[in-house]
Amino acid sequence: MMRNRSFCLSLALLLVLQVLLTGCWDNVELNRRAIISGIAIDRGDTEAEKYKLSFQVIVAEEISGEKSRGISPVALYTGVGRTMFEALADASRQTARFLSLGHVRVLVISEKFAREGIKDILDVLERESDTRLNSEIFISKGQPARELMSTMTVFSKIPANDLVEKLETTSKQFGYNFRMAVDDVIRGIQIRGGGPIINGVYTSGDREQAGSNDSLKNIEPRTILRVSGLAAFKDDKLKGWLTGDAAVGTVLLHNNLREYPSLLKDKEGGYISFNIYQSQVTLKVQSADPEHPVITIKITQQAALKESPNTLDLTSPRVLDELSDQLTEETVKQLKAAVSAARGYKSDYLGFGQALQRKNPRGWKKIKDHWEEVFTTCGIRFEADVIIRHTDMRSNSFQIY
Amino acid sequence: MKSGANRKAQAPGTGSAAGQPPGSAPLGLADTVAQSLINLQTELGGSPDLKIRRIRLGGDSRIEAAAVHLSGLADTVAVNEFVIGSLLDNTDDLLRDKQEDGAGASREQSPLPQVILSRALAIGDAVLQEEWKEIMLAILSGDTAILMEGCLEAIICDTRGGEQRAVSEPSSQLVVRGPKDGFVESVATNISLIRRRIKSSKLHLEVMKIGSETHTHVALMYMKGVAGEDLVQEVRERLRKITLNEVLESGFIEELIQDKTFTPFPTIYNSERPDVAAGNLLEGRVVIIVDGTPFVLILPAVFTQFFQSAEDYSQRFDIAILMRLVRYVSFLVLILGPSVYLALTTYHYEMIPTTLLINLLSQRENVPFPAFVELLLMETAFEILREAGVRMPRAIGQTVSVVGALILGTAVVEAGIIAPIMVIVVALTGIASFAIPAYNMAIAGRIIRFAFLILASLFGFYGITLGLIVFVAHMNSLRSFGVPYLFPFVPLSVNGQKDTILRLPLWIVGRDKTPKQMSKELPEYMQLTTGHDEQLPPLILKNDTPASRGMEGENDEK
Amino acid sequence: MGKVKFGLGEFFCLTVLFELGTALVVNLGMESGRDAWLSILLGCVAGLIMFTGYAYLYRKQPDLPFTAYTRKLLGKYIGTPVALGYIILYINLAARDLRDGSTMLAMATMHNTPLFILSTLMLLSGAYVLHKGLEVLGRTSMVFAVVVMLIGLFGTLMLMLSGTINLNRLLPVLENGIQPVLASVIHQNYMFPFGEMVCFTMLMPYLANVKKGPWVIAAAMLFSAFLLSFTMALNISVLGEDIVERSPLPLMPTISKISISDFIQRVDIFVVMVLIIGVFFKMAVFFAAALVGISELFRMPYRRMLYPCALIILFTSMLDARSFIEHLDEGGTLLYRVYPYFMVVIPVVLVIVTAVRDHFSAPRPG
Repeated sequence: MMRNRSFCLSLALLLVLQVLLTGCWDNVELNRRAIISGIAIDRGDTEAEKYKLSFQVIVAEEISGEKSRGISPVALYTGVGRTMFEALADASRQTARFLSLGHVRVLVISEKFAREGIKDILDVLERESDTRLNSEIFISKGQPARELMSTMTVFSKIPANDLVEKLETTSKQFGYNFRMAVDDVIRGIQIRGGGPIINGVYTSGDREQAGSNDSLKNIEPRTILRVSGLAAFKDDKLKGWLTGDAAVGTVLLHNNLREYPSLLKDKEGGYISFNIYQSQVTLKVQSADPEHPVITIKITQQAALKESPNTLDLTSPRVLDELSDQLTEETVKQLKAAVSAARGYKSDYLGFGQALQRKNPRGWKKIKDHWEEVFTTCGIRFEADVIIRHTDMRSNSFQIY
Repeated sequence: MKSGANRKAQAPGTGSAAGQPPGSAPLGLADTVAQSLINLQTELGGSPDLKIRRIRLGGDSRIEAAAVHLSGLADTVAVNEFVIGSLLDNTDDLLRDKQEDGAGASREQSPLPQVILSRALAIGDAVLQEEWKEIMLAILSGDTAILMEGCLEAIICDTRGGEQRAVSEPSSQLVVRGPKDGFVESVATNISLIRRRIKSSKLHLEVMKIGSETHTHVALMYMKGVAGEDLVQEVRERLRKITLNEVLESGFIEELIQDKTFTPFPTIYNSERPDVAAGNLLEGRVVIIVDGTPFVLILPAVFTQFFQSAEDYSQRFDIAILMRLVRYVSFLVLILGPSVYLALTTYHYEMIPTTLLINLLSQRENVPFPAFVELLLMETAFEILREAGVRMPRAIGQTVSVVGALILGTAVVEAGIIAPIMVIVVALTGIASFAIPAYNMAIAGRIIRFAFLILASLFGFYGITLGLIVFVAHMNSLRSFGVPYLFPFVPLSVNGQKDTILRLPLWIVGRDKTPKQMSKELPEYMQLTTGHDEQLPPLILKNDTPASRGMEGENDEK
Repeated sequence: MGKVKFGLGEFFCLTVLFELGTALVVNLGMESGRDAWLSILLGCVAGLIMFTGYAYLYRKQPDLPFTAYTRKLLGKYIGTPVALGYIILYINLAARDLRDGSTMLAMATMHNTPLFILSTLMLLSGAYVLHKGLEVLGRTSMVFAVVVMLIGLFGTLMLMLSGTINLNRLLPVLENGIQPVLASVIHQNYMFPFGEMVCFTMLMPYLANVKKGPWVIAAAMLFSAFLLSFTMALNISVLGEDIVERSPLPLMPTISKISISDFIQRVDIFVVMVLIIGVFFKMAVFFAAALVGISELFRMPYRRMLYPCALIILFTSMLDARSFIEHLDEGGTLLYRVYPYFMVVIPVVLVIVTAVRDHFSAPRPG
């Protein structure tokens, strides 16, 4: 027994030694990594250069180091290839360190590529264990995606972070954009007869100095990254942009709008502003006849009056009732715009099909294949209810006597 | 408590009888006092601290006698007043009476020592002894031996005393609130400190001598009826089996009676505080007091016990719970802190929040070492600093820590050799190790930390997780005198939870936290196995026949 | 019998960890689409029925492991090969589990570490724990069951706070009727992970309480079935049916969706920890079952065969297949063609033999 044990012990020791001698396989020192904060994906001109990936790499020392050289806080490396992976390999050949995808927060796809189809892009993003499903996806509106990754921003030294923060801010207040991560887009593409909606982004201003500090030296930044518009997809192809009422309505239907301003034109002239919050949409489907389903969109909202230039008697319930009726109309108008836009693109990115599937799985199977037609013709009803809860800190507006 | 009868009864039991080398000329008590004294001096090599006071007993009879003691060990006042003084004062009359009796003298074989013992000596504790070795031992322990002409026995008077450290505040295990007395080096004082706290007849004491050269007094204390009978028997048994030349500290005993040698974890608790000892006695544990050290052993000790402090019971219970939680957390930080940092930065960088990652990255930018080496360097440096600080005189110790912690730390960061975050991590683990009340548990954690560090550097979280499994399995394989090491958690005992991580109010804890209660809660197959199936240290085993202990290492087979 | 005994709590935890094993992280029962959670529950019911058989045999011979009563019931000449077959089965299962675990680990985080090293490390730790004794395995499982539960609780809570759970993705229930669910149960779920409980017949003799023991195990099976079912439902409601179906380790992307204000993010390493813990205990239980079988069949000390057996498991797992795909395919075949004999047919035969014997022998003494 003793001999046996010592034999086993030495065997174990040998194995341990083997481990120690051959070194550490997955061990990568932090200063051997180049952390990528954002990726821009452009369509190259030829098939051999189909994917043109620009990686925004963080130069950590410039951001929080003591010995910064005053250079740009991020660097952009571009690689091309027939596939995403080849492009990544191409780009990493240009860098001194391992390109690490673990902290990619932003993926910007150019509009050109989006119109061609984004399915193939997403596969590697989903498969690779290093990338995160929480990365936000954007479509660059009418300009190369690369330009968005090479624009200096004021509030964060890393442009990609600035973009994410902007999105977050707009999704919380005053805007209609909302977070769209990789897996949301994948699920969106898989909606039968529909597609995802993805946030749009573009830069306004002078592109000349966008990539250097000079842009920021003025009080008024020369170039500003803007999150605006929603890209509507059919399957994985970009069909068009939603803005204004259609965009607001679309996001309302996704239940993703927390707070947004709504304006009414008063009879006496001038506009009354409201802040709409706690908006809740429920879809009801009557699908006795699956070929002609009727979808009821029920929406409840609360509003707070923010601005009233007129002499309306805001202490009177009747006046407020009237206003809320008008607000209701406004909301219905937005929803209608959203639905008609979706019908125009023949794309059910609103998720009506899924609602039908949940309600009536058998019927859904029958019409699944020609859902596009059913979607454009099905009956849609609106039931909106807006309540003005209060008029904030004053009742009537002050007047000049 | 330290009665002579008791000592005498114990004396044959010690190992000294077997271990003595046979001398060429057997020295012993001779007929004449002069010869006996020569023998004594020869045995001790003419040592000058052997003080001999020759006297004559009885005014007229003039019996030669001598009182012998070692200066410094014996209490001078006792020797002067109660031994020599009483001999000189009282024997005159006594012996005159005896002579007047006349016939009696011839009838009795050795009336003299008896008479002196019963009538003359004013000392509290004195016995007759004829064994030469015992007499030697008594003298060496500080007793005074009275040798008499024509008498083959000596009277041993208990005059032990001499210089001792006074009872003072313990230097380890400090409390903000609680008793401030600590054990001292004298076993008698220590026993009295405990006795003073538990005035109960149930508190039993046994004394034995261990160490064939040192003859160290080892006292075993327990509460009869509270401590398990078989536990006490097992401790007694294990103590008896020790064969060792010297016992200079309770650590010697601890190492020989613990269940397992090859483990970083202590399975016997030690304390310098009488209140801790008393509390544990009342909970049914056994306390072993070793002469010559203020640290007493308390057993059985399970893992959670090392995270308790005497103060937990003097503070409010909610605060005590918080403090205990802090200790457990700091143990986790101690063993896992550096390795988790290493695994996070070199393997799982995606888990670190982006802004923090950028910060770390810029810190590491110009550091010449890999993170593992960096950590190892810093941890080693920290261990050196600590070791240096501990051994230094207190005044210099301050300087060492200032130079070490402040100057070295900042210099190393300034020079860009080590990333500042590394200093934070190492300092945090260092501080965490001080938050654990038991020093031996803290050093166990310090060793384990390095093992996890290596695992993390090779395999990241995979290594750490497997390491944790092995670590817990190892703890589970430990027992302290039959009690599983992780006891109130594994096997789970709801009652045991009242005073482990939590410290519920005393009226809830009540009395059901004694090991006896614990062992009642243990399932039958897990009751005190008293370590028979564990591998005991070899020194104990030498004295043991394999048959008496079923320790083949293959005890699970049918 | 040896004096090693498991308490009920320890056995419960060991069973739960064994059942969760790899099943917690893989896309279990996805054959039935978004009704996977249902098919897990049904699988558990099937597993419980099978377990009733094992428990029956155990009640009849509470002191003997399975390999002993094959010989007792079938006679020496039939029983010994069958017992040997079971030992090989356990070694095979341990090896397959090891391969599962190490490959998943390689896929998830350790991309460059050789599989052999990963397996060796896992197996060495297993061998160490078993060297310390079966009871140590049981007691250790108790600690890690708590760890796994805590991680699960943390993950669920964080997912809720991140607002990524959308229960609509679980609807409609039973879109294609009950058929796919049943098919999934028959193809997979009754066997994996619930049929694998057959190896507990080797450990049950160490149970401290003959009466309550089987009940505790059954409760543990049910409990783990609920956990598995809940986890699958969570996966689907976070990721949607399709992504779960295409992911070998759906729990990882699910957990990686956790993002609390960009501070707590990418905590999928916890899933890897759960994976390691699960694989470890599952493998250790199979390993232990094989060891108990060997020591019982060949009358050999339990520890002597520990390291040789470890080597066999290691090399079986390494030589098992060239790729993970092949490994899974092979697993599917085994699951369908081979395991049912061991997990259903032979136990049923034994149950019948026992029942018949009882029936004939019972009246006689009276």
